[in-house]
Amino acid sequence: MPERIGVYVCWCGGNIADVVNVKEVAKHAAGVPEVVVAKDIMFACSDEGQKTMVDDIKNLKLDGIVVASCSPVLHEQTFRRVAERAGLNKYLYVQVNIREQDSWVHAHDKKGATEKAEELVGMGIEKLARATPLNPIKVELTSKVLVVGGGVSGLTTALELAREGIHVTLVDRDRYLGGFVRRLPDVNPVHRPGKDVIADLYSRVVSTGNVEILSGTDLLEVSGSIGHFRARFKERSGHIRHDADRELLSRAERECPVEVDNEENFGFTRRKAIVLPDDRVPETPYIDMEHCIKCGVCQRLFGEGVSFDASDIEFEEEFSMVVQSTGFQPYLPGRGEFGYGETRRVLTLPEFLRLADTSGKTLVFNGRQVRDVAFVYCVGSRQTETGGPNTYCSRYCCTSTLNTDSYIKKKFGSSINSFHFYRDIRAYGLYETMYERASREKGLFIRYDPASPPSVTAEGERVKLVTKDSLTAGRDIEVSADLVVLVTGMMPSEDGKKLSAALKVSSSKDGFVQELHPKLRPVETTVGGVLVGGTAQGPKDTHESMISGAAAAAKASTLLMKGYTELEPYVVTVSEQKCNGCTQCVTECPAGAISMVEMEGRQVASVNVAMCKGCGACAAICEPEALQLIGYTYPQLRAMVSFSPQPLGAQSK
Amino acid sequence: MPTENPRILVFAGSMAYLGADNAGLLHKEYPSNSFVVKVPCTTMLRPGLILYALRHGFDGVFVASSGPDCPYLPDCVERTAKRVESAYDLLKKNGIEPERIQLAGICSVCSDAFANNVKQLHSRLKKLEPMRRDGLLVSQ
Ligand SMILES: Cc1cc2nc3c(=O)[nH]c(=O)nc-3n(C[C@H](O)[C@H](O)[C@H](O)COP(=O)(O)OP(=O)(O)OC[C@H]3O[C@@H](n4cnc5c(N)ncnc54)[C@H](O)[C@@H]3O)c2cc1C
Repeated sequence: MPERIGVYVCWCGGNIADVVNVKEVAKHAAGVPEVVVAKDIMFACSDEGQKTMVDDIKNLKLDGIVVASCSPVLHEQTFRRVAERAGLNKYLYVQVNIREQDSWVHAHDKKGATEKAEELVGMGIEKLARATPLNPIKVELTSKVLVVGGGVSGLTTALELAREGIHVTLVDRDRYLGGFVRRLPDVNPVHRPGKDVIADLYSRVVSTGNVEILSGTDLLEVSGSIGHFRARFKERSGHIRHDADRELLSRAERECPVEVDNEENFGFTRRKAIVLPDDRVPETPYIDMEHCIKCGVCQRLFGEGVSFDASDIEFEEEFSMVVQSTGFQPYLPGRGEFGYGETRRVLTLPEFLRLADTSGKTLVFNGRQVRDVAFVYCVGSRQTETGGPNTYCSRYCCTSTLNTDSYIKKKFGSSINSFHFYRDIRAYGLYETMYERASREKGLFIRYDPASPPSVTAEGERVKLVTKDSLTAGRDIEVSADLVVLVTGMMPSEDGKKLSAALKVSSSKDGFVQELHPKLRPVETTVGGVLVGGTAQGPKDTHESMISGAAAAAKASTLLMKGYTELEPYVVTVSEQKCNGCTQCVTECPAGAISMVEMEGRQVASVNVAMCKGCGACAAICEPEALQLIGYTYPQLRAMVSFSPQPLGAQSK
Repeated sequence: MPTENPRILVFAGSMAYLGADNAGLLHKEYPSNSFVVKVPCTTMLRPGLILYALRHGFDGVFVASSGPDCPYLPDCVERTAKRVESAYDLLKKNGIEPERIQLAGICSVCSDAFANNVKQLHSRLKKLEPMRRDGLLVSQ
């Protein structure tokens, strides 16, 4: 246990030193008998700061260091490497947080903040003085990754991983890949149909030969930890051969007597019970058994190729890492929200795009030509004022609406009039030029105040919108339109939330997957070995989703190339001498990591370190304190909490 | 005699610790006489440890569990609540006011909740007599 300790108090420029008197803190620490050296450093994380520590460890033969600086979330790894470089066990270092949990929250109490820093450093020294050298737990990683979700982000992750020679299983519950982009008629800013973008991406993925694609497959269960994630799948049968002859398929589709609303197009078109891929990927047809009446028309054409009672296939596989790219789902307005559900002439933007895409040369709704379209922005986003749950901005929507406006004018002619009821336009980056163009192209922009949003009421075959235009002295403005389009925001997908729950991945307040750090660790989650890509992490456009998906691949491959990962050695140990064989810990352990073993004629607890998650639940209920969580032992915690705030030098002697 | 500036010990689970960091990021101020000790998960807290802290210099203990977001235990809240209940009993047995313990679930972005809980406990402790710092050793 360390007896020659070095203490380093960081200024963090002015971030800490403007509030905390770092020189005093260092001086105070120097009074502790075990402390050999205590210094204040301008930036502990800088090259120079690190060198000071390395030199001290070597020259003064330090056997442990305390660094008082920012949150360990940021630089724990940095300072561990410092210790390692100097030949010290990297767990003989303790980080004390005097920035996030001190200087930044007590800016108006400099004296209190300085005293607090002194005490926190004191506690850190107490902890270190009872620490032992540790070795991380090594876990082998095989080159197998599970990517959940085959939207643009998941496809990109799969492609980038496969290019590195890593084997990928890409699972999507949908029978066709591409997520939401597949249904976009005109993807901004490339201005191509989404299904083309997806088909390109898909063929590149397939050509790597390294990706197993499981579309139309449910991920029933997933459990485990880095290196050993077990997933159970259910591949839903399509009831018809994948490679069925195209011409015969078209005939079967023509002859199939069942017709239902096509969900791909929100019911603006109809489809048969036998469904053809229609430019979607993978190019496999299926029979929708929910609606099929088993009339036998297709069976007569395909014989054995059609099987109504083919069963789904369940199977299990193991992976070393998981990428969650489960995407988003569009916000669905409540009944009566801007007239939605009350008049059919109020649509959401996703619905409107399908209507526009499936219309011929003229835009027709309910048998009438559409001339005037009113867009209402920020529906289901930025609900701070309305008390709704979604307080965030969905990012994609302003630009997508401007793009939609120019797309319909391109497709149906400029006779279409558009009205934009907006709160703010966030056409960030180069998209600002689109806003400029839309304003020039006689689109009318009316700025509404969230306190008095536009009212929407049906008026025969038209819809009336009334609002106060906050840019023209708050006068009431009335617009009559053929269609109202609600520009709905993005929400985390329900299936995605279920996956996060199964993997124990934390979500942010908004329900999206929480990244470990927005800048420093943007694709890592709170669970080791689980990465996140695309809109599962938060609203993004296609381009941003692909960047994020590629980043997740890069992060995964750095680990996989090494072939192993190291886990924190913070697991529970047993003192067999103290164990009284009560077996309570066995039941308390949530991971099933404890069992009873025979030792010198009696039963004692034994912990499987590969399974122990390090929660310490067992240790808390162990009567004789035979179980200790390494890194957080009760002797350590007691020493920390009984550390006296009195001047240290005097107290410890 | 009320306590002038109560000393608060915070046991923070890993998500709650991030919540405290988040309060820092957003500069949410709270009393400086409060000290966070990080634990992976608050279910590891022995009731005796809480009593020990009160006997050795703290006027109150805030158990900041990671709540439903706990990466270790889905039922972290229930289990932590059990620990805290036993701690209440232990305190009562030792003639110490149970309101010296505060329990809350703090998520990784719950900056306001973190700061408010510290403030709340601080003002509640102010109304109590100061803890006697007799340093009595307790079992466990
Ligand atoms: C109306 C509208 C217009 C848009 N216009 C544009 C535009 O013009 N330009 C642009 O750049 N962006 C646009 N976007 C944004 C674009 O759609 C998204 O950025 C993109 O779809 C995000 O891709 P993703 O892979 O993250 O998620 P998604 O596209 O949502 O894909 C997620 C996939 O995961 C699958 N999945 C989810 N959960 C599970 C599970 N548990 N198991 C198995 N599979 C699962 C889903 O089936 C889906 O296929 C628009 C969005 C909307 C709503």
